[in-house]
Amino acid sequence: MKEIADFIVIGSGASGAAFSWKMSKAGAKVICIEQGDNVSRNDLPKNRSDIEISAAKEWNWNPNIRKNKYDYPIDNSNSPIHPLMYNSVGGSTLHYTAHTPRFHPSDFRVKTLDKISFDWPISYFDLEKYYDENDQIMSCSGLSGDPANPPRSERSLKPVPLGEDGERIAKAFDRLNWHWWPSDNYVNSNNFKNNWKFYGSHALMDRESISSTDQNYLPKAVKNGTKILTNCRVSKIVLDNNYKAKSVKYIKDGKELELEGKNIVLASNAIGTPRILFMSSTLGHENGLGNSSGLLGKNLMFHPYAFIRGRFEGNNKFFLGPNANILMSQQFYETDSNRDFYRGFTLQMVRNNGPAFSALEMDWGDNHHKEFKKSFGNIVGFSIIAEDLPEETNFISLDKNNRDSDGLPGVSINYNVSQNSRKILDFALKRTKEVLDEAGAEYLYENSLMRYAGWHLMGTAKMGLDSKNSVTNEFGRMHDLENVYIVDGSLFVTSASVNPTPTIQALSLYIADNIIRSGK
Amino acid sequence: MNNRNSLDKYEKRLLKEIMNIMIPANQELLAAGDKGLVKELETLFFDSITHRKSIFKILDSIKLNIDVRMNGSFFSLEKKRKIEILKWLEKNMFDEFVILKESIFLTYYNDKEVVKKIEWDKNFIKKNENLQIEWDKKVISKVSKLKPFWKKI
Repeated sequence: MKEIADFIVIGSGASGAAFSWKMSKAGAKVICIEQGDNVSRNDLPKNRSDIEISAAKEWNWNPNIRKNKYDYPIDNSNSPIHPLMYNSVGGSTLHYTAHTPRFHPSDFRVKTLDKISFDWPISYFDLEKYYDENDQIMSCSGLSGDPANPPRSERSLKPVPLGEDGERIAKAFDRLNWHWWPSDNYVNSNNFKNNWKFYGSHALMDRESISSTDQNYLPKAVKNGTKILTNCRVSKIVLDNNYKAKSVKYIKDGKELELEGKNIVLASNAIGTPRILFMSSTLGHENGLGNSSGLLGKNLMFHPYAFIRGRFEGNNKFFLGPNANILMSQQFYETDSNRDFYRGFTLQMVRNNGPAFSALEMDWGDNHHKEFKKSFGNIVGFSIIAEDLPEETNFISLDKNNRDSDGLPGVSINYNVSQNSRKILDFALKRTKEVLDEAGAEYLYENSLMRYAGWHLMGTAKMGLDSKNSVTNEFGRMHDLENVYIVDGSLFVTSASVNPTPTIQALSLYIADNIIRSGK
Repeated sequence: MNNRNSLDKYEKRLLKEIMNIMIPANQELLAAGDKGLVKELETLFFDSITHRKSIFKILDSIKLNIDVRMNGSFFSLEKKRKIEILKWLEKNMFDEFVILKESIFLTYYNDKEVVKKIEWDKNFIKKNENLQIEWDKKVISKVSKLKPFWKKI
């Protein structure tokens, strides 16, 4: 008998796993299709001596460098920021730092507050209980009581220790009377007692301490009956004669197969999702499936990142501890009419890398050893994560000249950093130098725009109430197709200035819950 | 041209020279190239198409450089000029140069002797039981007194 799923979920990362769990818990028959493979715990880059080599090769953030057979080519030549992702069961949650702040209520009301950009069709408070639910399942370490954010429930795990370097920076913020707070993480802080060598070069921290969806949501979903098909690359969503989605075509081991479903759910990130919808163009949907608004693939948002390094004197060992989820400051998060830009930024403290990646940030040549000796173990850094406002001129399209290992087209990125984002970064760099100075660290260098920093992919199928200026409705259902949903970062209307994973997952749970409540 | 899987003799010499310039000798250690790490670099990175292609692109560009050709080889140039050529490549072939530089630094800083000299083995690879750090509540005593300032909307 032919297998027909209630929901075919395309992607098993942050959003697809959360959705699969929620729907399968409600009794739906869910089949989750994943282009990548399972990653064995034994294959994870752990605390091993060649961890940095692994980070540069098979665990590289950049799919264009990594070139696993599950990756698809991305032409970055028209973008100063290169998108990063991981394709496997668990998706990019196998690759992220697990720094998990939430959006602020203001992030959902940019138009109302600042008369620019757009409001989301939902509010922070619509998502609040799903943030909580997600924090429980992903296991959040952190501390409630942050004055920059709405009150939230106690975190299930205590915060990650700041370390001596973190405490120095925290005290500097205190002296400046600036906000700071220990970071929320999906990290098992209990492991720290015996494992403080929790080393974070290029997100290759002790990944067994980091929560990823292959370890939490997906096993639960499978227990509920969800089937996960791995190494299956979706090539097309197929419509029936009534312009309703009826199946997906996918490629496994070079063969094209078809799977029927009552509903199709896209959870392939803000590049992969529009890619599939563009590849599914058909009669009546010539410019991409569900693209009557013309906005599919547009409004691509990254978070433009700048980076700054300073150096403490002494013989410290400040490479011990997580790399980027230590503490953050949201002193300059909101719009301030005294500044010449809208919205703001989050400042995230970043630790030393291992020796090779630390050395890469120093001069090569005659001065190298001197610099290394003075700097290694003594470095402190800050990532500046700027809010990126949506622009239709930032978009993705199919790249038929570069194809993946199954012959499907790659993706081309067209993206420019806006004047507003540039102003945020410039302002933030100046403020960050003040923190370094206050902490007693010598300023070393800055990178005013990080190229390999496209971790956060957002906005290419934005949600909204009006089908003329959005791709899905407020519940993630495509305006043009009654049984196709999007549950990933493509839906984002604006980007905030924090890591997006908890918001992506809360959104996915919210959409699933709405479907359940509507009795579909 | 870039489909080659290994370096020829000249390219090995060229890479060794680049490694020596980028990570020269110090009082305790030989320069990266003189340590014999070209072979190690090939072993570590030539199974990756991206790394291989980038390294060959840089080497090919050096071979085609007008000064290199006029002087017969890269080795005939003064050190200052060699550095200028590498700096030019760093600026104009950014992505490829990053990969070459990364491959050289990763090879060097994974060399056993180097790891030992910089005490990376003692500080990281070997477990240090004494480093146990606990969360200390006192650190938030000042910031937690700030009035909530998130925008209620």
